[in-house]
Amino acid sequence: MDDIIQEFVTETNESLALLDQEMVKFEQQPNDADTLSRIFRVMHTIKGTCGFLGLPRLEKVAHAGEDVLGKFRDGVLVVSQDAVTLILRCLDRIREMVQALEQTGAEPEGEDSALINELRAMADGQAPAPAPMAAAPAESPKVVPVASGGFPVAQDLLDECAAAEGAPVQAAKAAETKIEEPKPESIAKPAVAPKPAAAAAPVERNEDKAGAQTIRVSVDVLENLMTLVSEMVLTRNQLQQISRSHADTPFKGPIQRLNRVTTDLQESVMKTRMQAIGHAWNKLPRIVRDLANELGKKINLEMHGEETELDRQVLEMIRDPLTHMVRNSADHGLEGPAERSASGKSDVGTIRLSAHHEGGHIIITIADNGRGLNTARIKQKVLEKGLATAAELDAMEPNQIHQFIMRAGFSTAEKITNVSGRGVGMDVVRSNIEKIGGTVEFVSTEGQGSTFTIKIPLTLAIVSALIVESAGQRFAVPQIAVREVVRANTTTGPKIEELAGAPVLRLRNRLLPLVRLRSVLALDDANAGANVIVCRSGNQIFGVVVDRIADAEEIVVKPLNEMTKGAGFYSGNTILGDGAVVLILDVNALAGCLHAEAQATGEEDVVTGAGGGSVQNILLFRTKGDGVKAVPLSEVHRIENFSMDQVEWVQGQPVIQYRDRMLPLRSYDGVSGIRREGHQPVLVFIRGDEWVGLAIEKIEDIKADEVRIERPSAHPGLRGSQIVGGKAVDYIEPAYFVAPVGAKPAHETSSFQPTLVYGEAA
Amino acid sequence: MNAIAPLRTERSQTTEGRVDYLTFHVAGAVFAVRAVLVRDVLRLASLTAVPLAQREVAGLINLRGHVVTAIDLATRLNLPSASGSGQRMSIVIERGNEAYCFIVNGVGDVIGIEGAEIETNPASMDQRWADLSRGVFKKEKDLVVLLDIDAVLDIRRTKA
Repeated sequence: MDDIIQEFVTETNESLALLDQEMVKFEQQPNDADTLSRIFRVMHTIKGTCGFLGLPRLEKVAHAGEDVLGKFRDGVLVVSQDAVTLILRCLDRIREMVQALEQTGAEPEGEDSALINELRAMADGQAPAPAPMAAAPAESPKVVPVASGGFPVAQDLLDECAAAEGAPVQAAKAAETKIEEPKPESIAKPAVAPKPAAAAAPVERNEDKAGAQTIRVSVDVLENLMTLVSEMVLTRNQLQQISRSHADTPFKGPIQRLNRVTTDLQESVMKTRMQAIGHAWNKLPRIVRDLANELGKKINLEMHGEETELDRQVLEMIRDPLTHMVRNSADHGLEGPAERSASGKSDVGTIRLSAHHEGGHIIITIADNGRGLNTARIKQKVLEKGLATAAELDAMEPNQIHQFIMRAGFSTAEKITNVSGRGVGMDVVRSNIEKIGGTVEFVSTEGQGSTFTIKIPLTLAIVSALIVESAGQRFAVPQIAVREVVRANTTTGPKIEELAGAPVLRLRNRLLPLVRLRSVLALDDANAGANVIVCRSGNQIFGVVVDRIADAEEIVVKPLNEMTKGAGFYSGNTILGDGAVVLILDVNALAGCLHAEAQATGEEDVVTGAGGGSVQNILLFRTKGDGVKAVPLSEVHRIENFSMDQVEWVQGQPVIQYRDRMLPLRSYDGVSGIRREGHQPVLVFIRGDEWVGLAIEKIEDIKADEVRIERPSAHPGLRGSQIVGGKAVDYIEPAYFVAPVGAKPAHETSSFQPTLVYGEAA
Repeated sequence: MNAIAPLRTERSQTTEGRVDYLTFHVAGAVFAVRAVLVRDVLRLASLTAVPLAQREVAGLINLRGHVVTAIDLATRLNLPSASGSGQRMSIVIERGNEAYCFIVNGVGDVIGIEGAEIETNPASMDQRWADLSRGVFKKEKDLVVLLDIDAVLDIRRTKA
């Protein structure tokens, strides 16, 4: 393609993106003469350049659009939504043609008379003094100079426009706009153009010289540069490693210099790839405006931190997910004006988009003040899709239910106007973001709106990673997933505790579920390892137990091939400074493994009592009826969450099959507290050979406190009462509930009368 | 390594004219692959294991800055694994855009074989070998099994 056409296409695309934004701004503030001037100037430039390059179709459309804008400027035409929509359509048409021009190098065939007529009708129809001939709308601006009460318009702009009406001058102007381009050839080029007069356009203007400071570089060149630098970084790391192992080598000095230069080079090359996030946002005002019109809503889009920079590649990959999420907020999140007024909000809904840097990552938030997620609807949909059972849903917090919108298969297809609830393709959004090592989180409050937070790395090519070791093998963990590293099992630090094989760590009063890298990867069975990497995957925080933290290194991620991908726990591999290949762990996959384990053990927040000393862990729970009950955790064998459909009745007693035996179930007051369906938390007690499951309503808390019964109880099932954590609680007597199954005839057990087994009670 | 012939061409070539094969031995048996597919023959250096990968995947090696998947041919061919028994060699094969490396006990030499000299697999051949073999060739006292690279690398197919 002709260089000059190529330049035109690139510039016009940039101008059009700018125009979209400006038009939306203009619609909101029709009195802003500056905005109008800018719009007019851009449209005028497009029109002028087209004429000069011999693109008649484009020129005509741009000309018709310019006329309407001219009327706005002159104040003869009131800025209305319809008018702005028409201009935007005109811009769309221009964009289509420019795209075709880019692909084929020639203006596409097509008929624009309908659009042009509409534009002309708009320009003429509402003008106070309509031009007699619609065919000559170009004349109209001359008829109406600055209208009284119109916008104050800079005189030079008016002059420029008036001059533009004359055809020869127009070409001159076109050439003049060309001067803005960095390449000096483009000034010489007009000689080839049909109107040689253009070459003789010695217009001096206050062009800022900054134009010459930038050049256009093909993206491929930058990509290639980046790859080379990545390899160089690796080689540098290798050299450093070698030099470290030789105490006295003449290479030390040069290697140090090489190190510095490489780091600087890497940073500089990275910088060339950086783009302001505003580039991914610039289409959004237009999309939101169109959606608002279509849906009859009033939406205000706020954008903060457009200048925040991130890698071009990352930018490309978040563009679509971001658009999708903003669209979701506008479509499903925000209510119509009537609904908003009814709930006491301002009738204009707000979507706030913001971005900022935070430790090698970029944080993007999309917040709306709409209706929030509809928990009931999500529940309904979850049930329809069979993603969870009603009983499971009942046990969940609203926030947990909301997370379903991120689940694959939650929404089947993208519907254009899906008003049945939020969650159109959110799983796709999430997987796209996770693909680039990012995370999505959100919180939603019904009636107050939702906030989505996206955290993504600034660049993909090189990531910092923690090198960990387990069973003699090293692995890399991307640092984006790592929240902290905890050294456990020291004398003062937290301890890794086991509950029936499920390891947990009590960290700052939180129970952290753990996965042992050794057992997950089947390296060996030893329960070695005392370093816990606290990771985050989605909303889940968990720990990965490894033997040792070896190093922190910048790594270049290389993809896995088909054979190694199958293992599932790796997201890639890399070559370390010492030349060794290591696998990069996929933290999300490890989290999935944790989930399976948590299900197998039934309860997430389970901890065994540390036992020692006078301070014990005390489990607080509720039974049917009032009051909080307590039991020292050390007396509880297990806490389970049973599916109550599996309860069977033998000899008038409810039992459940548990670890190859029959576990009799009780509730505090006989059997009436045992649910007939859904799930129920059950405390398993063992006394000698007898097991019993005490079905409770809810686990409240685990508190560390001294067990000292302040008020003994007369009730055989209770030991007495005590204040724990500011609350009066009743200690239950586990022994009271342990009754041998089948020890008594059925008729005796039909009314609940448990055998009293004292003595073993602690 | 610009010309990696697809399987079809590979076959037609074997039936007409002489084709070079690289021989090697695994646990006492002799095998061969088309020499044109071989990119490198190396002494086996450090190997990074891939936990939970298929049995045949011996690990990953660093081949001059490229990560290559190593396949334990002994396991693949149902032979006693050669691990620990002296120095092992690796033969780097390039297929498509990916490189693989076969771990073998020793590398023989390159022999030219006429298409007509290749005999079909004997009926008594172990089924596992028969699936991976494109024929056999008698070389002096040895019987050389000509491996079908695509079949050897298609680990998932025979996994079940």
